[in-house]
Amino acid sequence: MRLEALELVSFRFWESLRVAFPRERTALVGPNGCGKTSILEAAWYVASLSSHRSSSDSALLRRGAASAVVRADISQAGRRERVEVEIVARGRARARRGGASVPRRRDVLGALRAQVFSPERVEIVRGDPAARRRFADELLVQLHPRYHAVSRDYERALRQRTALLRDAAGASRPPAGLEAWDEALVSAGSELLAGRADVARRLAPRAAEAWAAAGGQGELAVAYEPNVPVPAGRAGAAEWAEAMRRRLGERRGDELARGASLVGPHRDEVAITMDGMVARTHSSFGEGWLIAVALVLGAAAAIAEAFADEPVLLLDDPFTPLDPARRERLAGALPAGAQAIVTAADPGEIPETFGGGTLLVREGEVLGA
Amino acid sequence: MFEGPVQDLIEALRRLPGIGQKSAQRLAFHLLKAPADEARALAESILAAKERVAICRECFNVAEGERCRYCLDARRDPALVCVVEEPADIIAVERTQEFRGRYHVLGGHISPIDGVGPDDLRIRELLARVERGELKEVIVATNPTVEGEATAIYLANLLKPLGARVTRIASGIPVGGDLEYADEVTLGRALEGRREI
Ligand SMILES: [Zn+2]
Repeated sequence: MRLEALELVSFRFWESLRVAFPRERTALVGPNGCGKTSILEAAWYVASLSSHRSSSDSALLRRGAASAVVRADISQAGRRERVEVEIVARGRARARRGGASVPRRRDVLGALRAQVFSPERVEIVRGDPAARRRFADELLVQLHPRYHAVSRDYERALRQRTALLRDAAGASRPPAGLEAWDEALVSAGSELLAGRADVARRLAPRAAEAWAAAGGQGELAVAYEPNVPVPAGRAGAAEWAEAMRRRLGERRGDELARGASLVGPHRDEVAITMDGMVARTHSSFGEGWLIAVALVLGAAAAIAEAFADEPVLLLDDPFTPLDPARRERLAGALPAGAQAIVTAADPGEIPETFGGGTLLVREGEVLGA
Repeated sequence: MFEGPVQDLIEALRRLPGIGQKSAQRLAFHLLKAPADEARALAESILAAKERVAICRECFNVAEGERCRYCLDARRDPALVCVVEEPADIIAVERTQEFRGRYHVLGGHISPIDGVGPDDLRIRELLARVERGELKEVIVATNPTVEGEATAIYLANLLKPLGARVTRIASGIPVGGDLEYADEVTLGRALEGRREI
């Protein structure tokens, strides 16, 4: 899959920009704050309908703008397709795919498959479990776009159920309607549990391979630690639903007493270990950086295998803290045949082996295309 | 800020759903520029609707008398009832021309975040209709959102012990959508493919 060109309108710092990526490898080079990161962010937004840097869409709008638009020209197996996504601070945002508007914005998911690395991604390794859950869910959406709706539904059911429990905290009887919210939570939650288990199974071996290829020392392991007991065998959503219902039954008293939702995938962990040590607490910043890169490359490999097609790699500033030998190895670890767009403040950071073309990004323009 | 009657009008318009400050101003100035009869006709139709339109005692749809046109229509099957969130959803179901029963309007969905519990909806009244033995099948056609689904499950848990057959429209409508916006073919298929909860 190739991202042929990207167009940004009122996105972050950019009033209007069109940039083409005619080569398999592209380096966007420019000083910090020149807007090169937002170009990758916009591409990732088309692939995931989310930003990896901001949880609120309004942060993506250019100052004073009510909406932004990102257009992507994507080609796959000789077919070219244009995807257009609108971003609004409030109200209903539209989207178009292949010239026709789609009923829901999420219908564009799957048109562009990608993975993104940026310095913020070190949080996946060294941050809270929430960052790892988010990373797993993002990969889930790349593999199965319908999970975009599943995780939204889960968030919604969780908020509703938690509000009900909070208002009834300490009451002797369960609040009216609790069973209905249990089912709403189980309905989306069991899908998420099954999906994450599948994602972890696909990601673990490929992240370990990417880690070794990028020159990492020791053994990198990724293991799913769900909040509900793992059903036997290759469990599907139905088995996870049973496990979740049983656990809800066991924790009913605690939930009522504390007025909180204590059961479900919002309390999952995706454990990342290095030679058996928890990477969150036992990795240095530099190690955390390289582990995050390996996770992103591992996720890309999992996508490539599922679709027999390489996703687009969006790598924001991947080389900076690495020594020249590590930079070489990292560039060498990028899969052959995959499109990669990297950014760097200093062109000297980009190893020879990366190859490809360089686009200079200055305030308000992109040169050298 | 404007003064006097203009500001009053803008503020009254702003209280309408989906109208912000800018739209309210635009509407207010549109009305001020319009001929006097046009403004009077609008005001009168609002008043007439308020005076003449009531809520159906049976199903809580909007009605021009004590009962709505569907509850008055003797050709409609009184043993089959379709439960919807809002009166507008009835229009969507009617468009399919697939349904020949009666309705029950809940007046929303359960939503703890907004402080809406089962007692805030017309659920007790639905229970009473089932208890009177009038209904053989209750089709729950709440919106296919998280809240609509939870409301459907709540109703099923409540109604099934009373011996009623409770069904849910099939999930043909994309989840997260409103019935109101579903096209009639999709909604018709969802009605036809309904399943017992
Ligand atoms: Zn009626």
